[in-house]
Parts: sequence; structure tokens; C-alpha cells
Amino acid sequence: MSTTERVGGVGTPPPVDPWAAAHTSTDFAMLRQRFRGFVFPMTAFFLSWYLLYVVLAAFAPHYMAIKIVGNVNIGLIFGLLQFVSTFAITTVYVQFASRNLDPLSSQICKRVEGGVW
Amino acid sequence: MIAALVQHAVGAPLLNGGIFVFFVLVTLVIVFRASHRTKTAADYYAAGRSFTGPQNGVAISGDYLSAASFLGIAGAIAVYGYDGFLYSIGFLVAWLVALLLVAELLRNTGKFTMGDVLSFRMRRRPVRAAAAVSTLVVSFFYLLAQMAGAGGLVALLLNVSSKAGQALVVAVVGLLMIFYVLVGGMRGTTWVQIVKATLLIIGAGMLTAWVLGSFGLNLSALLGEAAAKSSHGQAVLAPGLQYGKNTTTKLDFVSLGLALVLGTAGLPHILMRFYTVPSAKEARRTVVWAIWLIGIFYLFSLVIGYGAAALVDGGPQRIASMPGQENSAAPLLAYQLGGEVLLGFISAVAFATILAVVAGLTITASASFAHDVYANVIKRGNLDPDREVRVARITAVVIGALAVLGGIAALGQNVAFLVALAFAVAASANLPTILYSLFWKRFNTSGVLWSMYGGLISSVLLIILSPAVSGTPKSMFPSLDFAIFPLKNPALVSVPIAFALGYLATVLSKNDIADPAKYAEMEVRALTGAFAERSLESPVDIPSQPRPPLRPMPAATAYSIPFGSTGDSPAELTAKPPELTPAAPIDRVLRRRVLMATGVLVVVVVLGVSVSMTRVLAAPPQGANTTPQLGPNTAADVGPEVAIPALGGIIQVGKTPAFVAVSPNGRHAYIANGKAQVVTVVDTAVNQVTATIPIPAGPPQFLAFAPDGRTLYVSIFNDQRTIHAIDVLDTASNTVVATIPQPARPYLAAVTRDGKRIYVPNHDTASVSVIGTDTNTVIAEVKVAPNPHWVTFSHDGTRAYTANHESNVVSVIDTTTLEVLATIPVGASPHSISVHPSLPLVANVNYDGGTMSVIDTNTNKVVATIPVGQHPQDIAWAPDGRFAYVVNEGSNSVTVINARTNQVTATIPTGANPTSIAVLPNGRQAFVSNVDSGTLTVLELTG
Repeated sequence: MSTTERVGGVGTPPPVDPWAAAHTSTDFAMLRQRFRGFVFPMTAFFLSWYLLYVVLAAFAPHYMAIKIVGNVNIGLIFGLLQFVSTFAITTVYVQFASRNLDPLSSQICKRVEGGVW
Repeated sequence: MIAALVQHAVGAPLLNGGIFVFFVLVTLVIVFRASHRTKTAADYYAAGRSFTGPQNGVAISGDYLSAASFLGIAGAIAVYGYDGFLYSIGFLVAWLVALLLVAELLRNTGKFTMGDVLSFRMRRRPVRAAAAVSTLVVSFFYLLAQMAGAGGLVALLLNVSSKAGQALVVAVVGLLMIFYVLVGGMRGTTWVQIVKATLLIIGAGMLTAWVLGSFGLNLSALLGEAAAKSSHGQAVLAPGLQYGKNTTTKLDFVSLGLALVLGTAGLPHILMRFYTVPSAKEARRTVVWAIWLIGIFYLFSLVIGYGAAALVDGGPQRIASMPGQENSAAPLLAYQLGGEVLLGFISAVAFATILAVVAGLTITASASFAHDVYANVIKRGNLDPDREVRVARITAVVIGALAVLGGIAALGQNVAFLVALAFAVAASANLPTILYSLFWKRFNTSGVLWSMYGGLISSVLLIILSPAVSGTPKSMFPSLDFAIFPLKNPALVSVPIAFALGYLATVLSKNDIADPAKYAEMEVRALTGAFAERSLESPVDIPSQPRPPLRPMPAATAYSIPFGSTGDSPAELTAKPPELTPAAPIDRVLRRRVLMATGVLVVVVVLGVSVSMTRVLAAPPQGANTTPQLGPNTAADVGPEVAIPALGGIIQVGKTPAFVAVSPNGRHAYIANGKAQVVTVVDTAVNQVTATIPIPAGPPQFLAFAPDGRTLYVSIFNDQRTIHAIDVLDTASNTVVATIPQPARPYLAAVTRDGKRIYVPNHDTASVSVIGTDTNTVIAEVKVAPNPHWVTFSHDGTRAYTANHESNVVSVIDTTTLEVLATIPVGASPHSISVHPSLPLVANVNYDGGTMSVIDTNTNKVVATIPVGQHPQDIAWAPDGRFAYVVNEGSNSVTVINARTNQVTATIPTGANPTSIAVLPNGRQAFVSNVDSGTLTVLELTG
């Protein structure tokens, strides 16, 4: 991992603000990019998926009433899929976070708290 | 209601009360055990940050699964089918917003309240004040709705029907809640939530397994049975029953869906829970646990809801006709499956739910006032934490007391819109600001203030201008109409407004530059949790900036001077010793701050209390809105706008059923069978005759219930005019207990609201007799125009109205002085008369004129005359006042009139010579007596 320190530059006194130093480090940039790169598209996805469901339920009830198996219709399957997708996104996020975010963030955290910056 | 049901069916009602008391005792022990560990501010507000993610996840599910989620969603599914399911999905998906965008970042950057995060890099005091206003508004309205609901729910489960009894229940709930909060703090209430949520989920799981087991684990079979039992048939399996009426209701639902999904992550009492865990990772585990528990619980609710429809005796119709309406579905199912023990268990869990949720709300509101307003706005952060906790405790008592008063005032009123308002404000005022603060570097103080106040004001204003407050008979002020905004939920408009205002205000305020260094600090803190775990354990030791170890610094202020450009850096994260702060001209400033804060509190409180008070004063004593609406149960909020009654069936009730009356609790219909000299009793749950009561004195003609339903007064006369009497019939034993002789033929009598007087129109002597029910003797006689047929009372009981058949007038009697105040000309041969359930209107039908007249009781003038069928003989209002039903004896039909437009909306055929109509108090069915067919026609009023 990089220990690049851009704040202060060559020959200047020690950095006055460790937060700024941490903030401009490449590690933090990578952490933020990974976090936002996962969270923003996922939010866009589940919000549109949910709004699609709400709009269909409100404006296309006859479509939702089409039966697939026995008395189980599209609406019920669609609704249960919202549960499935919610559970799935939760699980995927937890895995993603513990694999890709937590190691990096705890590393930066330690350096900030230990006064390395 | 349920206890009454048990009493009715089995006859052993005390169990509920016993289980309730046991639950309360257990929770008190928990709170006491937590109390000796509640000392510091972090203990009181955040339970010392000692909870693990799973523990907090269970507690947060407990907070979220209020009695409404439990009873309301299962009930909505039982009665409205699929539409109930839709709500649960919005409530669940909302947690993804919390998981991905809010929980961890918030945990890392704040200490106790939403204001901590929002003010982190902004001008501290105005932002904290705004956050506190929004928190107090949301929490107080939510609290009020919960308290009013608590009275209703406990009344329902323990069969407390008197207003005083319900008020007592609310007061007890309030006292217990204040005790929880004062003694146990956040730790105590969290443990109560954990215990309650565990029991709730276990209970729901048991019901679910039981239901699925009885259908051989076949979901399709369960759905089929539920559809078969419902009067809506297959429609319960698809969306649209409840809100699919027109484009407005559909948009309303989309708006509600938006409020739910965006509001949850902005609810202050949910946000505050993220601070009870030691780290962001635990906050993440909290949400993960919450999502699984809440998701599984809502899946249980789906099975419980359809299971109640399929398995409860009498099906959805019976559930809907219970006094608790759909809220009674889960308890009824529990009783059906597991008898009284399971019923008592489920009821007690529901009660514990209310206690725990109101306690959580109170802690949140008191923390926001003490921490944001008092400690940081008024005292500018120079307040020792002990004193702050003391202020928080005092605030909790004040808020608790106000919630009790407000809850009592709002008892029995339709306060469901307060919950919708809470979610809408949370989605409009809180969430946009939280997201901007966390993710948008440029966001500044102006942006916060415009977005918060803009979202708050626009959502509150739009609700005030919506049909929830005025313009429809179901509104808070049914007699006024300033509903220019068509949707009941404002989120569809107010959320975009709040986002847009936050953006525009930021972009346009060029001078107000947010501190980039603070943003850097906030972002690093948010994503890494640096200094969050350790430092937040003991707030006094928090360094604003970590120092390189070898460079001694005078204080943390070393870093906050160069970077705290506004001079208003978040002092709550700064280790500023109090004595170092400039003791400015504090007196004047302080006074202004105190005034401002008090103003905020007073505005919130006055708004809440006055809203409920006016509602109480303006509302009819026997309105249609007596169903408790709790928690996020906005299901009932998007109700059908058009009801076209459908024929529901025919009941054989003897030879000459001339008059039908429904008991005040809606459980029985009594029918006067003149020629047969009997009164026939129909059980409205099954629509079958269950008793036939002989009336030896003569042919019964009309029936009038006492308001408590225990006594029925039977008007008796024969065609030869040789017999005239009133029989007093005891409805518990269904026997005649007294006979009061009458001077002339008694037509339809009426009992005063206090039950102390009966007014009897004497058809042949042009007078009304006033009889005291204690002695059953005539105590006064009032002369009216000939000849009075029908008498009825205004809601306040100060006026009596008679329809005088031969003189074409309606007489208005002052019930205090017994003088005739007015004589109002109406159509030809006014036969019967009925008071509107909420508006100042009285309607009568004119037998020979073929019309219905509507009288404004403020002016005593006819304001509308509506042609109906031939020989209209009886009229009844829907309990919600939206429709009038007129029975046309000459054309064998019922005419339905829209009360708002005075237009005829439907005409329904009946049996031969329909003479009277009675509507169930829940407005779902009506019964028409067909004198020549010997039948009752059942009308399904809600379509």
C-alpha cells in the first residue's frame, strides 16, 4: 500500500492537518472510489427496481393479476422478488464491504489515529 | 373487542389483563437492571455504545415493527388482500437506503443525534436548530399517533369502551413510558425492545407455521381459500382493491411508496439507534440483522394476513365488521388457532410494542432538545454532560406529559395522517440534507437550512391543503374545504422540492463556502471511523484533530483555528475545556437563544395539541373514525373514493319485517315483525336469524336502541288504534322487561345520547312525549306540527328534529327548554329524518314528494332537494357521511346519493315494499327491510 504524502510537499514543515493528508492520500481515494462505485449504482438499481414495482402495482394491476402457478400471480412473485433482491443486496454488500472496504478503511483509520499523517 | 369476543364466545376474559400485567412487570425489572448502569450522557442517549450489532438489530426491528406494522399490515392483507402486502415491501426496501447510504457514515461522524452529523461542517447553531425542529416535529407527531392508537388498541384488546377508561389507559402508558425513559435511559428501552421484538417474531412465526401447516405447506391453496372467503373473490390476490380507484389514488400510492422508502432512513428515532453500537461495522451488522428480521416478519405477515382471511370464522367480512376492523385480524387468527393463551400472548406483545416505541420516540425527542438545542444552541456547547442529561430527563417528562394530554385529546380521532406526515417530513426534510451532507462537498449551511425548512414547510403545508385535513367527510375538518392539493401524501412533491432547494441554495449562496477541511475530516471519519470508537465512548476526550504524538499542543483548538473558518466548528467533537471559551456578552445572546428554543418547542407543542383539541371539539361524538390507526399504517389512508353498493344477499326474517335497526356495536340487527308480533334478531357476522322474541303487548312497529345497546325500545300499535305502548327490551337476555303505555300511536322513538330520556313522536296527538328512562314515565310533552313520524337528535344533543308528515315541515326542538325553535318547510309528507354523522346537516325524505331534502342546521334552511324514487320512506347516512341511502317503498329500490355533490350515484333494486334501512357502524353493510317479501336485503356498501 502506498504511503504517499502529498500534503506539505518537499521541504515544508510537517503537515498541519492529518485529515487533509489522509483525505488526499491515494489509499483514501481508492477507498472512496470503491465505496461510491458500489453504493451509488446499487442505490440507483434498487430504487428503480422498487419504483418499477410500485408503478406497475398502481397502474398495471391486471398484468400483476396474471396467474403463473396455481393461485400465485405475477404480482406476488414480483413482490417476493423484492424481498429476495433486498436480502441479496444486503448479503452482497456485506461481503463486498468486508472484502474490499474494511481492510483499507481500518488501515487508514489506524494511520490517522496513530498520527502517521 | 377481542376480550368482548372471547367473552361472547367462551366466557373467560381476564387472561388478557393478567398477561399484560406480567409483561409490564417483566419490562420494569429489565429497566431497573439497566438503570444502575445509566450515568453518563453516552449511557443515557446511546446506552454506553455497548450493544452488539445483532442486539441492536433486534431492537431496531422492535422500534420499526410498531403495533401498526404487526396488526395493520396483517389486517390490511386479510381485508384488502394484496394491497396490504405492498406497504410491507416499501417498509422493507427502505432499509437498503439505511444500509448503503446512511447507517455507517452516520455512526462514524456523529455522537447522539442527527444534528451532530448535519452540523459537522456547517454553521453549528442554525443547523442544529433546524435539525432539532425537524426531529421534534417528526417525533411528536409520531408519538401523538402512537399514544392515540395505544388507547384505541388497548381498549380493543381489554374491552375498555368508555372515554374515561381509554384516557386512563393512555395516561398509564405515558407514565410507564416516562418511567422507562427516566430510569432505564436508552439501555433500558433497548432491552425492552429486544425482548419484545423477539417475542413478536416468535409469535408471528408460530402463527405462520400453524397457518401453513393447516394448508399442507401449500401457499397456493392458502391463497385460493382466502380468495374464496372474501367478498372480493380473486381480486384480493392482485393489487388495486384499496387505492386502484382512479389516477389520483394511484399517484397517492406512488407518493406514499416514495415517502416510505426515503423516510425510514430519516426517522430520528431510527437514526439515533445507530449510536448505541461501538462502531460502524456494528452499525452495518445492525442494519443487516434488521433487514433479515423485518423481511422475515413481513413474509410472516403475508401468511398471517391471508391465513386470517381463510381461517377465521366468518372470513374477512367478519374481521372488517369487528370494532377494531382490520387491526383485529391477527388477534382473531391467534384466538382461532391457539385459543385464549395465544390471543393473550399476541395482545400483550402488541401492548409492549406500543410502550417500547413511545419510549424510544421520547428519548429521541428529549435528546434532540437537550443535546442540539439546549447544550449546543443555547449553551454553545459549554455544558457539562451531567447537566445535559438532567435537561434531557426533564424534557422527557415534559414531552411525555404533552404526549399523554395530546393522546387523550386525539383519542378516537383519525390521526393516521400524522404518521404519513412523519414519514413525509422525514423523507423531505431529513434525508436530502443527510445525503447532501455526507456526499456533496460543496453543500453549505444555506443548503441545509433551505432544504430542511423547505422540506418541512412544504410537506406540512401540502398536508394541511390535502384531503386529509379538509374537504371530505373523512377529513379532520369535514365542514371546511381548502383541500387544493389532491394527494393525501405530499412526498411526491415535497421530496423533489427539498432536493431542489438544497441544491439551489447551495449553488446560489456564493459567499457561504463550506469548510473544505471539515469536509475532508468528515469524509475520512465517515469512511474510516477514525476516532469514532474510542473517542465517542467518553465524549469529553474527543480530539478534534489527532495530533502527531511528539508535538505537544495546547489543546485541540490548535487545529480548529486554522480550519474552523466560520468560527463555529462543531464543539461537540472538540475537547474544549469550558473555561477557555470566550464568555461573550452572553446574557443577551443567551436570552435570545432561550427564547428561540422555547419558541420552537412551544410551536411544535401548540400545533400538536391544538390540532387534536380542535379535532375533538369539531368532531361528532359518534364519528366513523373510531378505528385505531397506529404506526406506519397508512393503508387506510388511501381509501376508495367511490362506493357503489352491491347486492349482498337476502335473509328470510319472518312475515312482515317493517323496520330494521342495527345495534350500536354492529353485531346484531333487530327486526320488527308487526303481524307476527315478534322481534327477530339477526347475527350480522353470519347474517342468520339467531333469536325470535315474542312481543305479547301488540304488533311491534319501530325499534330504537339506547346508545349503550343494552336496551331496545319497541314502538307498538295496531291498525285499529286500540293498542299503543312502548316495550322495553333487554338485549342481553332478549326479553321484554317493561311496558310503557302510550296515549297515542308511538312512531319511531329516539333515546338521548346520555341514555336518560326517550323522545316518542305521538302520531295522533301532534306531540312528542319525553320519557325518563329511570322511571319509564312521561315527564314532559312538546307540541309539534301534525303529525310527527320520526325523531332524531343532533350530535351535541341540544336539538331534536321531527319529521311531521301531514304538515310538510320539520320541527326543531331545544332539548333543554323543550321549546320548538324552528319549523322548516320541506317537501310533501316528510316521513323520516336522519342527522349527518359529521356535517351540520339533517336530511329527510318526502314520501309524497319523491324527494330528499337537506337542511343546513346552522341556518335551518333547506339547502338541497334531490329527486329520488317513488314514496321514499326511510333514509340513512353512511357512517363516514359520504353517502345517503334512501329507501323507496313505491319503486322497490334504494337510491344512493353522494353527500358532497348531492347527485344520485346508484339505484339498487330491493325486495317488495322496502320500508327501512339500517347501516352497520363500520359502514360496510346495510340491511333493508322488505315488508311484503318477508326478507332483509343485504347491501355491500364498500363495493
